[in-house]
Formats: sequence, C-alpha cells, structure tokens
Amino acid sequence: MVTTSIEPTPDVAPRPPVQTTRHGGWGARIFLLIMSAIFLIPVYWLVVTAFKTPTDLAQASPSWFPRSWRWANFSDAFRAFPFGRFFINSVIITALTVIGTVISNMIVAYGFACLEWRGRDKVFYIVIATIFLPSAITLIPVFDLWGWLHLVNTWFPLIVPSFLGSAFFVFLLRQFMLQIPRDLLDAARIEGASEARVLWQIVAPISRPALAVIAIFSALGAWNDFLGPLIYLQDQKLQTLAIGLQYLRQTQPDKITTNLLMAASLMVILPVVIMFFLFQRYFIRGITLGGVK
Amino acid sequence: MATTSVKKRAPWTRKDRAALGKALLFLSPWILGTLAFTVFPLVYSIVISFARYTGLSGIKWLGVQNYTRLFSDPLLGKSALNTMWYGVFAVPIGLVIALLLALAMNRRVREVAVYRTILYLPSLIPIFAFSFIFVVLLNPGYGIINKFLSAFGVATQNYLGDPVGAKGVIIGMAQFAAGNAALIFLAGLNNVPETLYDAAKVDGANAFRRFRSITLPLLSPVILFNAINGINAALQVFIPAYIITNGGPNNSTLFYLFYLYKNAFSYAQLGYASAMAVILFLVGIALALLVFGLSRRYVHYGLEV
Amino acid sequence: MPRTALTRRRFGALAGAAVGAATLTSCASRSSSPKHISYWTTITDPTTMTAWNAMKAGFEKQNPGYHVDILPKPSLGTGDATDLITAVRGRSGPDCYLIDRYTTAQYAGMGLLENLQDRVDQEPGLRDQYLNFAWNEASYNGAAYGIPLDTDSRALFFNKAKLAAAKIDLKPFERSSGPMTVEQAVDYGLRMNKKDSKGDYTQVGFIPWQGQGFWATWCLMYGAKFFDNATCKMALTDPKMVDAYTLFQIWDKKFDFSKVDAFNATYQPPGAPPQQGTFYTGRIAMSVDGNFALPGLKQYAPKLPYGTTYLPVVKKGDPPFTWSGGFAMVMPKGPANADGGWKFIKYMTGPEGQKTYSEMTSHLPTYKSLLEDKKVIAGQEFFAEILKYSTSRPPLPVNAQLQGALDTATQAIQIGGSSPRSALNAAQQQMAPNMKQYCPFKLPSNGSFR
Repeated sequence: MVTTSIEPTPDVAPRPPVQTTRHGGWGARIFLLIMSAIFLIPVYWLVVTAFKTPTDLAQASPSWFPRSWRWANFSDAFRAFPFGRFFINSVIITALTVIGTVISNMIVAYGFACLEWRGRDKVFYIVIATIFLPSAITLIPVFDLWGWLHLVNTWFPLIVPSFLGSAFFVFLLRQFMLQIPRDLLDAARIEGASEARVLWQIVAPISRPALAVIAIFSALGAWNDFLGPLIYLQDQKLQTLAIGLQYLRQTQPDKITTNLLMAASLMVILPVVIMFFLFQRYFIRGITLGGVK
Repeated sequence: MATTSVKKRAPWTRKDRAALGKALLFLSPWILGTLAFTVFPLVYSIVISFARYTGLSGIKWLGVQNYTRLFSDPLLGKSALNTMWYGVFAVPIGLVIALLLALAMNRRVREVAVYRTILYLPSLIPIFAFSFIFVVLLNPGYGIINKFLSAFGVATQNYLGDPVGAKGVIIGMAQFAAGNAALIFLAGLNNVPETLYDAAKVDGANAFRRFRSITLPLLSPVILFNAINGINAALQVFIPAYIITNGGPNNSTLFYLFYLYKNAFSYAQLGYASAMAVILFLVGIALALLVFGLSRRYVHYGLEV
Repeated sequence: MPRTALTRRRFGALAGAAVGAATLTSCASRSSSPKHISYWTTITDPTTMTAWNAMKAGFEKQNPGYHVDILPKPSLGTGDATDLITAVRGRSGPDCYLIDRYTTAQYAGMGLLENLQDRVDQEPGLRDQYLNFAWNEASYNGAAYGIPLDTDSRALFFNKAKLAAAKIDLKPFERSSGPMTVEQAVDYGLRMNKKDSKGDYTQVGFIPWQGQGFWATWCLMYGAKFFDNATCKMALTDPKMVDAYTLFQIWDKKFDFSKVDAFNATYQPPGAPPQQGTFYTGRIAMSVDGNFALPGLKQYAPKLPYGTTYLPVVKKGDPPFTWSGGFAMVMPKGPANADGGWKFIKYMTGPEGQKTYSEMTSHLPTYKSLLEDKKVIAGQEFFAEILKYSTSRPPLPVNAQLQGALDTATQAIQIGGSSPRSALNAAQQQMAPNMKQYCPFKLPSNGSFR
C-alpha cells in the first residue's frame, strides 16, 4: 500500500504558493477581515485600557481611545508588585522546561520511530492513551508525591516532569521521525554507529524543525502555566508571572486598578508576541506539524 | 511506511530481546515519567477514593461511600452538566470556526500572511491574561461590549452575572484560540493535491460537492486531531472560570475540574476528589474510545493510489 | 531553514547552568531558627497591613532578637484557606496564621491546625479573658485550636442627604426609635431608586442582600440555628431558614436582580478604585455593614453625611439585633517554630496586640476588659454597645462549605428562580453527608455570647 503523505523531506516547509485558479475570492477576504477585526478587539482593548487614566476609566461610558496616554501605568504596575522577580522566575522555569522537553522527548520518540522492536505499536497505543489522561487524576497524587519528597514550594514539581517525556510531544516527534528515510539510518548503523550516535548525529539534526516546534510549544506552556504555580509555589520569591498577576489582583484590589492590571498583562504578553514575530516562520510551520497524521 | 507485522504468538528470539533492551533504554525517561505521573497517580487515586483522607491526618476507610455521595451531590451533577454544556458547544463551534478560517485562508488571498498573524495572535496570550482582558471587555463600566450593543438599543447587562451569559462568555472566549486549529487545518488543506480538484471540476462537481468528497475526507485525520485536542481541553476547562467568575453565578461556571480542585485543595477532601477524578478518567477513556471508533469508520489516512 | 539558536554545546552549558540555578533557589525556603517566626495574614488591605507591622514592632520590641516575617496570603473568599492547606500538605506552612474564626472548627477537624489546648492550660484564666462566643468559635471538640483576635457587629448605614432628597422622614432612622422592620427598610430604599432613559438603574436606595446583608444576617435575624445539636444533623430546611430565604424571593420581585447586578458592575466594577464605592458616591443610600467599614468611610468619603442605626428586625417591637464574627490566630500543623509561634499568637491576641489592632483598623476586641476602654472603642461606640444584643453563627466543622452552600442557595433563588424551600433542600442535601463524617459532634455547652 502506498500512501501519499507529506513528502518525506526533513523540513516541513509549506509548499510554494501555487498559482491556481483559486486565488482572489472576495467572500473569503471579507470573512477574514471581519474575523480579524473580532480577533483584534481583545488585544486592542488591552492596549487601550493599559494606557488609560483612572479618571478616564471612571467615566460611565468607556471611550474608544484613551483621553491621554498614561505611560506611568507601566512603572506603577512595576512598583505595585515584584514584576522583575516574577519575570526572571518565569524565564528560568520556561528555559528549563524547554531543555527538558527537547532532550527527553527526542530520546523517547527515537525509541518509537527509529528502533524496530516487538510490541512497539502496541506500546505506542499506551502513549496515545496517556495523551487522554485528564490531568485531574494526577493532580492530587502528584502533589502528595512532591510533598513526600519535601519539594513543594520549589520549582522541581514544575520542571522535573518535562525531563520525563510527554505523550503528546512523543507523538508529534514520532510522526516526524517516521518520515526520515530508513536507508539513512541503516547506512549509519552498517558503518557501526551506535544508536545514540544515529540519534545525535543524524536524527536530531534532521528533526530540528520538529524539535523547534516542541520547544516553542513547551515554552508557551510553561510561560502560560497557571495551575502548576498556583498549587506548588507559596513563597512569593518563587512565584511566576501567571500567579504574580493574580496575586496583584487579589491582594491590592484598591491599589491595583484596572488600568494597572492591563498594563501588567501587556508586559506579560509582550515577550511571547515578540518571540512570535521573531520566529514566526517556525511557529506557523510548527503548529501545522500537528496536522501531520 | 510498512507496518511491522509480527505473527501472533511467535516465540521471542534473542534478537527480539536485544532489540527490546535497546528500546527500553531509549524509552526509560518515558517509562519513569509514566510510572511516576500516570501509573502511580492512577493507583493512588483509586485507592484513596475509597477513604476519607485529608492529607493532614490519618486515613479512614469508607468503602464506596464517596461514590454513592457523588450521585447525591447536587453540585457534582451541576458541575458535570456545566462541563458537558461547555464541551457540546465549544468543541464543534471551535472546529467549524477553525475550518472556515482555514478554508478562507486557503483561497490564497494575497494578504493572507497578515490575517494569519492576526488570527493567531490571541492564541499566544496566556489564558489567565486573556481572562483578565475579558473581565474588562465585558464590564459595563470599562468594557466595549456593552457600549457596542447599546448602539443597537440593548440594555446594559452584566453578562458575567447571568448563568447563561457567563457560560457563553467562557465558551466564546475559547473560540479566540481558533487560530491555532485553523493553521493545522490550513496545513492539511495544503496537502490536498490540486489535481484532484481539477479532475472533479472536469467531472462537473460543484464547490460543495468538491468540499464534501475531496476536502472533508482528506482532512479527516486533521479533524480527528483537532477534535481530540478540543475534547481533552473541554474536560479540563477550569482556569477562565477560576479567574473570571470563580465558578458563579449560581455555580453556572463551576466546571468539573474546578469542583474537583476545590474539594481537593480548598476542602482537603482528597478521597472524595479522587473519586471524582476516577470518574472523570473513565469518562475520558470512554470518549477516547468513541472518537477512535468513529475515526476508524470515517477517517481516511491518505489517498490510495 | 533558519539556524536554531541552540547548538549542542550551548545547549549543554545552558542545561547545566539552569539545573544549578534551580537547585540553588529551591532550598532554604523555610528557616527553623527559634527566633524566626513566619506569619500569614489573609487580611491584606493597606490599613490592616500597617496594623500588622505595628503589632510586629511591638512584639519584637518586647522580645528582643525575635524576627517576625509577615506574608500576605489573600483568601479567595470568606473562609477560604486553600493556600494554607496546600502549604501544610507540602510541609511548607507558616508558624502562625490568621483565620476566619468561623471556619476554625472545620480546619481543626481536617487536621490542618495544631491543638493549642495544652498550651492554653498552662496559662490559667486565659479563657475567661475572652468573649465566650469567640472562644467557642476558635475551638473544636472542646479544645482550643485558635485564640480569638477581633470581633465586630453589624448595623444599618444610611445616607442622610439621600433620604432627605427623597423626602423620607429621618425619625425612624434615629436610634431612639428602635429598629425598623425589614419591610420598612426595603420600602424606604425603593423610594430612592432612580433609572435612566434605557431603564438602567443609576441609583438604588437599598440592596438588602448586598455586603453584610447576606444570608447570615437574615437567618440569624429569624433565629435560625443551622444545626440540630440533638441529632447531629444540619437543619437548613428549618422553617426559620425558609422564612429568611423567602426574603430573597420577595426582594427578587421588588427589584430586577439582573438590573441591580448590572448597576453594580457599572458603578463599582471589580478593580475600581475604592473611592468609587457606591455607598461613598451616593449611588446607594442604605446598606448593611459593620464597624470594619468605618475606616473606609473616613478615608474615601470624609464628607458623606451618613448615620448608623440598628439592623432591621422581623416585626415592629422586636428587640434590637446584630451578629458578630471575627478572626483568630491559629498554628498550622507542623510549624517550623512552634514555641515562637505561640509566643507571637499570645502577644497578638493579648491586650497589647488587640489594643493596637482595634484602634488602627476599627475592629472590636474580644479581650473583654478592652471593651471597657474608651480609647480602644473610640469611633465605634455604637457597635460596641450593641454587642449586648449580638449573636453568632454556630462553630460547625463544615462551615467553609456551608458558606458556599448557602451562598449557592441565595443565588439559586435570585438567579435560578428556585423556591426558597428547594434551594435550601439542595443545600441540605449537599451538606448532610459532609456533616455526617464528623458525627458524633456537639456544639459547646455554654452558648452564651459573653
């Protein structure tokens, strides 16, 4: 059986824009314009509110533009809570998570994609099944596990799991690695290369685009994680931006007015958006990897 | 790739064992992770679901009392229903919106890169920050929604103070992540060979027919993937409700996982919460089997040439 | 293909550095020096934080060498202790914790708190210094799990200017007239409602379910007991409860609940500066509130012509009524510094601590002799005086959940359109198996307030 899947090239480059008869399409354009407008509203309102003055906000009817742009909201938000500390914490946790995710999933996916062993496909079903495992069932026992290890209120519970593989990322990477020509690997093996070498010198470089994708996904996941820090970090010195903002909101509702909250949110989002624009090609290619069957 | 077909019950050869040993080495992180974060939690959850356990003092065995209590707990029913409501609306709507966006972007509108960026932008925003934005957007004092609607004569409303409104807001908010799924669909659409459409046109198939008999079948694996993602997310929806409504009003956004979280972490009823988790787990398995069963019937893996 | 930033070598270096950093930052989160005390407070507003710091200074001055670390841990709602439960289970809890006293029994019952009875026994006469109800609230099964800090009482606040503008006679609002009935109060309020052309409220005279006008006030007004001590069962469907919850149904017909909700969201949205409070700005003219509201009024609406009188009662001629709550200092399980923690708890809840706290935050002391001190109760004399009419909620080991269940019952009527009886039935159904876990259980035998 021959299947035409995505061409087994190492790169998941989208096809060059084919000039076909299907260009144009005003209906599509209008739909996209409307949807874009809708999708921009929250972002627009975030930015506008982040610059409003308290008096501006107290108006009974909100204005589409700030009456005056108040940059001091940002420095005020900075002073209202330890933004710098939270930011650095988030960066460190995210970086470690990315490292763990890339290393561990690459190794495991290799075992499922590039090694032939009996029962492989059956075991892989277990991997797929665990994608479905609701985190709910792990919430309580895993918390107790970290409690027994006296590691609650440290970063270990947030970081260590990423070093132990993730079913979803293994799934993605395996799909990608399956497209690597067998001959390439077998040739290396015949020349006497160990599996570790095949992984490190052939599969890893070819899989770089896919690895970049899981790096990006895991980075987003770690940066945006809410439940983990909420449960595991009590010490303010250890907290991340996600919990920091919520903290800001709860502890000082009288000091932290809506404009400051929006200013702080904007500062949380900005690094992600900048990363997106820097690596946009990767992002877009990467997300589509999920579509590879 | 040809599948490795092993004859049933063939004896294990030494080579088989060697290959397995090698594989185990590579799988070891996953095995360790699965033992610690899947197998152990599963066993532990099942065990303590039969006890009164606070994690702070001793265990008191209750038999199936936690499970019988589940069925008489009005809040549990409500939270399960809320989650179902969310899933029934959010998942299909999300798929349709994402598919429509992808189809539109696939029309090769010249400025498609701009739309792509804009439509993906909300997916980048952390869910907690997006929740904050929605609180502001919807507020009659600060937000634009009421101002916009009042132009059409709609009276000022606190949508977050209304059970249907609040649930609708959380479902609606989830749709802003459609950009992600849309891009996956778009990649799937890119893989549909142009020649197929041309051939169909020659045969006189109209646009709808072409969509039904070419696009949809070829896209089915991607739809499956996005559906699985969607269902998985729906079962565990929690954070927006935690931040925006704190489960209210009238517990209309008290989703299953939120109630479980409360029982476990606010009331330290670990046994009861574990019973909830076990049930959720079973439901998750049932849904997974259902989706895979459907996929076997409807999903086409590639074109047979 | 763009080059990935992570070359192998850099990758290795980064990984090493990062793991090192994680190890460094993750240890030493809890010190166990005998002179270091950690204290978590759930009340974190600026006024109270100032008071905590003053009390900490007083303690450190009296006990040289000691150092108290105050950590703000805002709770998500009344009686919420999620942070503490999580921390104690993770073995990273503090030495002392400020708890909503009403929930002490619940948290003691689940094993979250240290039993302080042995320590109390070594201080003869300590218990007699405190208001009896407050001590009971901080106990579970006859043992002290916390020492009371403050208390409070509730009254009807009204805006004289708004009453005058609506040509309402001020006479019934004078304390000498005694309490008015609930019906009267609500009717005065309705006369002050104002709507704009779209039909949206711009002013609401009195929102009786708002603020301190939640179920506790109206249930206690009817004399509901919440619990049947003889059978160890929740009594949420008791006729007195139904009477109280019928009020919510009556009010729902007199107001449009969703309109009032929209009014609140418009004029006092979450994240609004406090001076925008609707009572301060005159958008509402009457409110049920407590002495703890006084500092805000002074700070944000110093010129507001407001007065306070007795809470409304069921029928004309009923004696005045109010109810009291407050906070307690407790010691979570497994403290790093139990002796230091106890020392701090004793100071905070003792005469010096309570004096500072009451004066700075406008709360009433639970230390009885301080209630006679004019300086301590300055500005809140009326609230101290009505303590003689006061009552309190029973200290049950399920109170944190009861709070949620009865809030839900209120919303079921206001939003879900339930009948009072079916709303309370649902609450009873939810709470019964919960309470059953703690039976046999008896309320403290001496139930008097003082």
